[in-house]
Amino acid sequence: MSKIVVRDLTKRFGDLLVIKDLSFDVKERELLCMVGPSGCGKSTILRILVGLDTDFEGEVMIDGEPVIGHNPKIGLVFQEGALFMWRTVLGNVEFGLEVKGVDKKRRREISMDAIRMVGLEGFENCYPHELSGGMKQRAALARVLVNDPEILLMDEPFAAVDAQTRNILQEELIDLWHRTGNTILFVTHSIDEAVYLGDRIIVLDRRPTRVRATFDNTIPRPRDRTSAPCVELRRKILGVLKEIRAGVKEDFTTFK
Amino acid sequence: MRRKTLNIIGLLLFFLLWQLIPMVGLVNPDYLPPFSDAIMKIPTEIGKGTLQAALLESLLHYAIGFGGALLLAIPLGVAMGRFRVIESLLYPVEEMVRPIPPIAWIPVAIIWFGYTPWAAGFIIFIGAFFPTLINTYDGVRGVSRTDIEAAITLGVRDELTMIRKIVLPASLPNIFTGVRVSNAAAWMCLVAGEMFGAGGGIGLELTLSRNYMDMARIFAYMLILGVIGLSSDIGFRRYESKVLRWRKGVVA
Repeated sequence: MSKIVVRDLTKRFGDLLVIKDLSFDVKERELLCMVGPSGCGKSTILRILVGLDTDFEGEVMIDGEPVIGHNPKIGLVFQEGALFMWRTVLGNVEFGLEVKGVDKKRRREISMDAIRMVGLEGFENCYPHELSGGMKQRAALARVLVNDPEILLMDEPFAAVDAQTRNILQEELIDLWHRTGNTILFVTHSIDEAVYLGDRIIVLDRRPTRVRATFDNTIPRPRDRTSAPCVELRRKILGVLKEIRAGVKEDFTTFK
Repeated sequence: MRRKTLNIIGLLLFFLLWQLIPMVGLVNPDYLPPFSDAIMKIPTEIGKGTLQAALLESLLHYAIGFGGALLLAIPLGVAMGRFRVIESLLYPVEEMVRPIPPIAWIPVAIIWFGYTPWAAGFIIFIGAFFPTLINTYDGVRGVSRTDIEAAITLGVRDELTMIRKIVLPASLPNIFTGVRVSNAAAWMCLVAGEMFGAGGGIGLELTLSRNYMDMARIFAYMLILGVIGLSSDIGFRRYESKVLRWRKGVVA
């Protein structure tokens, strides 16, 4: 059963054709990773899915319904968290419930649960500037989780975090995903991350973007990043990305 | 602590110089009376009841003008920052009226409101209105798109909630800057307006003192103005650093 269906999605910014006839599905409870060269419109795809950008052609469906504006079933974790600087961790996490009009006591309970879930208890009264990059991402995740989304869209959430913290966050994300049973679409530029996390990995082409390759990743979890199957899969994905880059070079020569 | 001590030493040195220069005859004490003469005027004025009355009048003017300015400038600044139509309509008008020195409005104020507190209040209003308007507008326009979009994806649907929960708190640092500049402008306009007789107050006392050729009294009231300015600015800064605790570290 497909949770997200994208068919022949085309997106232009003025004259610039960013995405052309892009089609893919995300199955219910799947963790799908999306990699691709920078500037290929990965963030744009997420913005369209979450309803922030409604100016596109083609079909985009969540649970069989076309996307028109923001759907509360979807939560988006922004690059570098995008926490509200003027709110504490708790204030940030509570935001969604506050907007929904949930009463203060209940709000606090749910929020503290989410804060515990991402391992930030004791930091709930800190302001974002007092947190490390990894903690900011945890807070951002908790902020989305209180809305109890069925689908989590994650836009390079761990890109600005140091390598060790990133590995820890990835493990925690897997745990969380097992517990909540969310459908996750995870955009990343790290092949290692995609191979560690994904049930499936979609490699996007450079602009105008479409799906270049799809890899099923059946390596059993918990995964060992250094194991032969992981290395092998990384090699395959790297190969595809290399082809894509080579294509760019060809274009430049013909351009001359 | 060291810094505070130096602050106090600086002030004391200033008063000492003020005391000594006329005393040793460097300048004629009729024109610059020593500090002690000025400060001794204060109990005299309190004894007569003039100082309290003038202060009350001035505070009333300040409340009318400054209060009115904030009440109008902040919502209008938000509206200009958020709605393109309002911005396009008001911006040219605002840019044309703003450069007119508030002092130029004194004749208008006196004709419109007579020699009443409203005249002084109006002049203060003109002076205090624009700094807060401009800074609020700037702050609102500067709210990051990511904050707005994050709010939408977290469930904000209507503009009012967006303004209350995102736009206002995010632009509060700018609004505070505007309010502080407005406060300084308000006191400037207050004295100018009152000197012209718009409603009494400390400014009027300055003009009266000039008529009596009472220099010590002039400086006594000027001292009062200095103290009010200083303490109100400290007050604002204190309040600001409390409310904007989240900014520590963001701005080093």
